[in-house]
Amino acid sequence: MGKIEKIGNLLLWGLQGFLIFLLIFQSSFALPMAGIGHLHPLILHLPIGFGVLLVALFAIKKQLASFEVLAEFLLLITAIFSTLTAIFGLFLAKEGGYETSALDWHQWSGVAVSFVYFSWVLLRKNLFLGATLGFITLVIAGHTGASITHGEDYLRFGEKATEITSESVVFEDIVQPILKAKCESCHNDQKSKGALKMNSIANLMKGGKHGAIWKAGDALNSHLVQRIKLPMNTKEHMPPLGKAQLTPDEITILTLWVKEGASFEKKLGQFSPAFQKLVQPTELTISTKSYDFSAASESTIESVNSPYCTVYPIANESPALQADFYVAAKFDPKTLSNLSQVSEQLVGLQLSKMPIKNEDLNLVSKFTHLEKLNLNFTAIDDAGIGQLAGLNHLVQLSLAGTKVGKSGVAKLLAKLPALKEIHVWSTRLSAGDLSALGKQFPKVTFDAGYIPKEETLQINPPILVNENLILKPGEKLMFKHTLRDVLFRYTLNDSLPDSLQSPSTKGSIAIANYAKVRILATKDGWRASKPIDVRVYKSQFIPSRIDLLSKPDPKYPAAGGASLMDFVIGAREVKGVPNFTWLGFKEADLDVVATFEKSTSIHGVTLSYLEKTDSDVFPPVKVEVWGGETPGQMRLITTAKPIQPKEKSGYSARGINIPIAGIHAKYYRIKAERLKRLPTFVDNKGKGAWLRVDELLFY
Amino acid sequence: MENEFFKNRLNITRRHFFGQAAAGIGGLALGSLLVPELFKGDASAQSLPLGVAHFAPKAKRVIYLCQNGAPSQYESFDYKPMLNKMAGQDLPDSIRGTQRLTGMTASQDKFPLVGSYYNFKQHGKSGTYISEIFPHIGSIADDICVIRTMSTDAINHDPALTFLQTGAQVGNRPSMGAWMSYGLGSENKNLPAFCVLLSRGRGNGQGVYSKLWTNGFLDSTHQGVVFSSSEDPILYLNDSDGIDKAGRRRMLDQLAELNHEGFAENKDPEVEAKVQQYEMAYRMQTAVPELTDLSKEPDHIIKMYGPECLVPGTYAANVLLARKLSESGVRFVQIYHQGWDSHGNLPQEMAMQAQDVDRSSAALITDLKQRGLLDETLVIWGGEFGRTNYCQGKYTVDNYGRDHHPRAYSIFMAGGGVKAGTVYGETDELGYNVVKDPVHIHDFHATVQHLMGINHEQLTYKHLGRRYRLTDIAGNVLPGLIA
Repeated sequence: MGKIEKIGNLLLWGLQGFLIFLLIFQSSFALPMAGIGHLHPLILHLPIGFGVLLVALFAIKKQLASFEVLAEFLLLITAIFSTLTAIFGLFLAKEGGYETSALDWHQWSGVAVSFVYFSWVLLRKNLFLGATLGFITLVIAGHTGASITHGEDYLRFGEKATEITSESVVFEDIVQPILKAKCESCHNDQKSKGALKMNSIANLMKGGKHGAIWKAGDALNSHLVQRIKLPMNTKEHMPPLGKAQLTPDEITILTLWVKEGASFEKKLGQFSPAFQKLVQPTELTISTKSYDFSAASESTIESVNSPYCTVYPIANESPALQADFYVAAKFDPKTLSNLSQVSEQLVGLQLSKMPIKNEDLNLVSKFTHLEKLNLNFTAIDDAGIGQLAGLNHLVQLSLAGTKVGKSGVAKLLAKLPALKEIHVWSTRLSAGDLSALGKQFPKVTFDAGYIPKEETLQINPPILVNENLILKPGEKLMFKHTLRDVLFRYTLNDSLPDSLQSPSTKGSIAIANYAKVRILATKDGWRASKPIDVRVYKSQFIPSRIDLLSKPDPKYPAAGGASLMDFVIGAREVKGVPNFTWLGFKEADLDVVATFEKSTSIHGVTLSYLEKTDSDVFPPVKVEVWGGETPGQMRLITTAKPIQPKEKSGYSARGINIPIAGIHAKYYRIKAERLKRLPTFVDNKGKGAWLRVDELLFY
Repeated sequence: MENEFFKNRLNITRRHFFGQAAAGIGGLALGSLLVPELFKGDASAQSLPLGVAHFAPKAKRVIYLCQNGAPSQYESFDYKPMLNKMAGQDLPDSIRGTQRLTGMTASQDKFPLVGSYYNFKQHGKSGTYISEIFPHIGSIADDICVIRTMSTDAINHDPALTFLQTGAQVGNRPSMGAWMSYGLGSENKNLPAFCVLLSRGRGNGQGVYSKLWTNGFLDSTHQGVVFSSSEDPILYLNDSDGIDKAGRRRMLDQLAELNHEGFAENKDPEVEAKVQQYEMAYRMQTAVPELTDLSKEPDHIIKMYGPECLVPGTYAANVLLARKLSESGVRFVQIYHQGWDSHGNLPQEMAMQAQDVDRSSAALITDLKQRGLLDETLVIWGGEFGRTNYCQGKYTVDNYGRDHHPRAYSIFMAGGGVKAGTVYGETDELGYNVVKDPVHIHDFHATVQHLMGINHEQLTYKHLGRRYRLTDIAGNVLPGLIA
């Protein structure tokens, strides 16, 4: 006997002694190191493996030179590990939660395994008998152990994989198998954690130490549902961490089963569609339609493609082709006739909005495999569509926005055996025609399009076209609208326009002088739009130059007199950015002379100014217009007083028209007097106001 | 154009070459030692050809009506009368579980449940519950599929929206539209395959940013093209004064010549991409005016979308434009409508937002249907996450707010092979958790790509040493959504 064997024998004797000691005194004192029992499931597979190997060794006995040595050594190891397993098992049993009778069986069969191997280590005779006997006790101990952890009938093979139908009893065929697989290993007759057994209807109804585990119909308040839905890391989560977990679908099945009454008898067909779909999920299928024609060559497909006609296979390795035409302005009939090269392969053709005429349909009719044809908004009618007869595969035909009528459609449909869907809105078909056709062709769906409800919607406001609101001589104020046949109504006197009475225009308004235009859009069948306001300035006569006689404030010099006739509208100020669109006066009044090339008769003068009282910018208090044929001979023609604001206000650019009658002059001098004492409603009351002017226009 | 463009892939850039050469030689040697089969080739690893659907698609185009800011599911599509019954009571811990909260409500000591201020009604043959502030969407209930169980990983707008649009919370991956453009190519060669339209509502808004429509590591041709909210949706389309059509053509030809010379020298595929972009812009000069001209739209179409559709930059105008773009073969039209982030004053804000989008969203679906296009166009309506079932801030009967809620929220889809007239998924009685049929963002992406004829596991792009896809390494196609 070698050294190793000696040590092994000693160890075995020691372990056996300890095991017998444990067996005798196990009930009389509590075991320390309770956790060591958890090594039992880890180690128990070793003696099983060794025991099997020991038996198997006899099969190749003759081929082995030193069979005896090998077999005896293996026997020793098996004995050691079976004894260790039995010891750990006793520790584990001490932790409790196991049904006693099952545990007893397992305990004694396990101990028997270790005794059998130990005895033969001592005997050293009749090895084959020992190995076989050991193996048999191993099988018994293994099975009794597995019955505790996996449930008593875990070994029942060939259980019919029940096919789920709507006749299946849900509890029996769907719910119970889940409980069996995921819950019963800890909740059975042998092992009932939390005093709960889940292995029969009666036990389930009885519940555990917290009472009933569900409230039929109320999943949220059911103990079972609450516990399985708790987060994984909470102690109460079921099944416990480390055990096989319920899948999301299984959780849902249990939840819905409780929610839908927790019945033991109800059949699947009586459950909600949601539940039925869950247990009978739809399979993902990719239906591939096969075609009996062969594919066109790549070069052919390339040759029928153009920037405005895309021809492509409907899927990888499919011979079927789709052709789409785009950009009506670039439609080329040759591109369409080119498609005859792939007439066999075309299954889809999109020609909507293309300039297609009746005679082009002759070509289309040659594409005999067409399934989907879009001819929306093309110039075809009853005289042409007859040619499409014979498209025996056509399923969907779109003819919206064409001039087809009842007789043409009826004749065609009789010859399109596969047709399922036709789009015919905005055609000559009346509602009556449609219902007659519907009766004649019950298999075809007629899409009559959207039929607007009886409601009157408000149209959107006019859109201003002019980019510059200082109109030059001959220029008009222009409005447009995104809808056709819109009539605009407007006022120039600051009153709200009336959608029926006020002056109307289709877009252009002749403007005589500065005006605030209020305008709205109207259209039959719509409510009038909200009005929009536009302040527009008008120049009828342009002087050759304007010269300043007084000095503007250095902060707002603009470009001197020229900026009064630059046709650039005053811009709002941005802090830190110099503004050259406004000519500003603080210490002096405005005094300018406009010089015309020759003596000009005008109807008035418009001075545009800024009103922004919160920044001390006020209208001029008085504007004088002087005129004369020479600079020295001017006389006062008229005086105007702009309306002064009565309260604090923000930015408002506006103008004042000053009419003049029957005057000829080459020189016009305009003096605008600034407000000297700010009114009490502004912060700087009593100080002088700013005067800011933008344009000086003559009409 | 596509062919020429993809030929570029055969060329390599100089930088690329040196990078590959250095890593390549050592890598080859090591690789062949470790895995002898490495260079024997693996047919299944080859990606499918680009520019064509992997299998016959249900949908050819997508119009994504993204409701940016997260509309509340409780006032729209997830009817929870229990919340009205339990209003004012605290959210039970068993329902809330481990859900993290935003900084805005995490410090609240109470989480009072709050029910919908608005009534719900069942609509259509399907009996789908839809809130009274969406009457027009209600009227097309049989054409849509309401998903009540969307769930996302993020809890704040930026990462959630980025996740929704690109499949990742960090902003460097290609957007859904870019992937579609990359995988399926352009239907109409005269327009970008991926267009983006922006509008702003009257509710509390959250930003949108170009990373949402980025091409990421894909070629820049796949980037979303943002349209202007002004009267001219595409700016600078007209030739400048003094340049006629022929002059423009000559200029482009000369420029292309120079660019080709440049490409011959530096082999940068972006140069060729640029030439193609110029060519497309040239053709857009003809294609776009047809699109943006609203004067040819019949009156009843305008009434359908509502008169706002004539006011540039509004949601309604964008939806109408989206229909026209889609009808003209634009693969992916992405709309963002801001203003759904109702942390407070929700009843009023929600009503205003609904008023902005209800009529035109429904009109789009009806309009596509009557043109025979709904079956091939997928319309998606929804936000980046949902809102909490409890009140943020002070709760009164007619004024309350809701915080962000990523676990379960509602969207709807229509057309393009989606099961119409159905409700998918179920939340618990308090709407907080998914009870059945969860739809994670990755599943949503996988399903949308499936509807477009794309195998989401096979549309990949190799970048920084690994293959990327929209669904990253997750996502299941959900057959229950597919008709």
